[in-house]
Amino acid sequence: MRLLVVEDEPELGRLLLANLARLGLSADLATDVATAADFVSAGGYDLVLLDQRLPDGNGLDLLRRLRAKRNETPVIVVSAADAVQDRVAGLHGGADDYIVKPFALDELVARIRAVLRRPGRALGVELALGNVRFNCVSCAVEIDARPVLLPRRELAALEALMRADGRVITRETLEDAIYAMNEERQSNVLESSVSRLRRRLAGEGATIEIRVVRGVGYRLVATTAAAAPDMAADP
Amino acid sequence: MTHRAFSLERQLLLRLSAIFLGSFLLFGVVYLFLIKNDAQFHALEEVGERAASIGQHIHRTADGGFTFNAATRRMMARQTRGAGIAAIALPSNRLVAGSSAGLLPALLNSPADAVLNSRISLVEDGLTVRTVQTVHHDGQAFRIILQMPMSREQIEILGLTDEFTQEIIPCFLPALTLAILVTWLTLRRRLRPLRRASAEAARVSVDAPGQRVGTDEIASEVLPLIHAVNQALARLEADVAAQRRFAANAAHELRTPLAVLRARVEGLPPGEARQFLERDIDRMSRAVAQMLLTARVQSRQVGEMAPLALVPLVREVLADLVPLADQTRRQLMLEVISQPVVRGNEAALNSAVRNLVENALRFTPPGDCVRVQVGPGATITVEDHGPGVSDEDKARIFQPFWRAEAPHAGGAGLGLAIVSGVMALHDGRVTVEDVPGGGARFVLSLTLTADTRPMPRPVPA
Ligand SMILES: Nc1ncnc2c1ncn2[C@@H]1O[C@H](COP(=O)(O)OP(=O)(O)O)[C@@H](O)[C@H]1O
Ligand SMILES: [Mg+2]
Repeated sequence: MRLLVVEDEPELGRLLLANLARLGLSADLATDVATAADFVSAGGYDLVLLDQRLPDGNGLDLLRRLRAKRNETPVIVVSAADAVQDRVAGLHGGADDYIVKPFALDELVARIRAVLRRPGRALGVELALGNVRFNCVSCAVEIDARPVLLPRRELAALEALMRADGRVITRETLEDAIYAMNEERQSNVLESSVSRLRRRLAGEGATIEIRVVRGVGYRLVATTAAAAPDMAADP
Repeated sequence: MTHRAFSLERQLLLRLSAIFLGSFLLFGVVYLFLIKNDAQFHALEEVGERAASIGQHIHRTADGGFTFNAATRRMMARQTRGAGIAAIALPSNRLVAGSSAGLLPALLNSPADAVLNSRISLVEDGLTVRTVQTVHHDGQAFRIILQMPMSREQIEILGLTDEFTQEIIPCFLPALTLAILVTWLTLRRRLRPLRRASAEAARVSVDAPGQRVGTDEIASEVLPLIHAVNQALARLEADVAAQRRFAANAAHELRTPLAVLRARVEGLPPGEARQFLERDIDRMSRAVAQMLLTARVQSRQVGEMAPLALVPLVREVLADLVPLADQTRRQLMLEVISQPVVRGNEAALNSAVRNLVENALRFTPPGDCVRVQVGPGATITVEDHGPGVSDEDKARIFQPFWRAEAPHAGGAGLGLAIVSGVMALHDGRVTVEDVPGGGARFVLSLTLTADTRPMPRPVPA
């Protein structure tokens, strides 16, 4: 796992690299757009942390250039402006996520993990929480090392919930996940799929549980104090 | 006190028309005074015309005689003292019809040349006019003798109407009409650029920089005003731009060192000192973020407005705040009454809702649930069971930096100012009311756009 941090404030760049290294994440530092472009096109980065104001240009321009060249390396845009205006610009420019300075390291790592857990990304192949493992390529689910077969909608719901990594996933997002494209939506399908999945997880002795935030959405929590999976240990 | 605006065009047009009309009348009076001496001429002319008309209307009766027509007879019946009329057939010189018998002999017995000549004699309060007209009518020649006394006033009115109808009006009315018309057209034409300039000035706003008032065709008297307005606009625009630049730079210059500080503290070994420092940095970061956001909202500097569904927006905010609720041991729930769509800026509305929910999470007692509701209509309600807001505080909690309690880690007292600023940008409102049994209920009211579906979706229990 390798990150590229693009940050022109030397002190911040150095400290970020050190903090990430303590969590087992190795990263390189680029201090301007030109260097960053060279590093990215050399390849091999799982994610780029991109500052906006750089001495030789705007980070968003680099992002647009990358996306125009079909370079799909995940990018989290870092901004020192406030969110009112820039968030939309960042996400429309092809960024995977957006974080505003100053940020807590925990917050940054959570966002990196979430981006990397998306389908096809570095952490998006084998998801694990508690005693549940989910292989996103084979769609195989194992609870306590025993394979479990799930119907299509429950499988999709479990995948979306596991990718969310403990954060709340809204009803809209979960609904998008369980329906195939162009499939007609019906009321209560979401609720019944989730409650069947919840019963099945309990019946199979899973140490994770689906919690409802009434009217808002769902999240997965580990019911035992199982150690959080170490990101650096993932393939 | 309100100042009633007047229309320059109306006023000028009315006043100029009044002046034209007044001078026209004045001229008429002066003219009449000058022609007063012509009164006798007018009187004679008038009486002569009447005599001719009477002669034209003499009938032959069944017994071969002659008689005046009905109108003349009616006139004769009304005759006053000193008036008389006689018709004499020619060439026999025989009286065929006549009135005022007492007068006739005198008329007829006058010397022939006296009878045959028109004559005006002055009496003490006017004139007596006698006219003699020869009229051919019905194959017969008549001599009509008409004598009429006329008062001074009658003669003057006669002169007046004659002069007016025959000379003054035909000559001056077109001139008067033309003058008023030209005045009106000129005013309209010259004032049109001013109307256009007003419309341009109305389009001026901080959201449309570069808008100026055009000077095309503007009258030279008004031009300095327009120039002054444009210069003021340019200065204001420069000020706003400078302020926005300042806010953007301040954002960068404050956030970057805070980020360095944060990263440095996070590199420290875990412990109480690090925990305190992290909390302090959090608090400062929040205050900075809120101040910058306030500056942005107050200078109306938010991104694009687009149709937005409120339910997903509120869900995203609440999903983001669940960890905070967990930390502070409170719960969150959403009730969906309708699925409103409004025109708005997503990030701005997002921070408005977030500020309300953060406050509610702070004020509601631990273990309690903050209830958020979308609908009915385009409303968002956030309800808690905390101390509520007293009536005297209800108006001032929305002022920047105002807070009822001692400073805390929540913020700098800007949250609600941001909420009300964001609502103002959306032509919406934020209100606060009491919850029965204790607590505060904040309501955001926005305007629905046309494409809102009324269908509410069933909400999970
Ligand atoms: N839900 C609430 N219940 C009671 N008082 C409130 C509530 N929300 C805000 N207030 C009062 O309004 C003040 C201003 O709130 P706000 O503008 O959000 O600033 P801050 O959160 O930084 O104090 C708060 O300090 C508090 O006194
Ligand atoms: Mg607040």
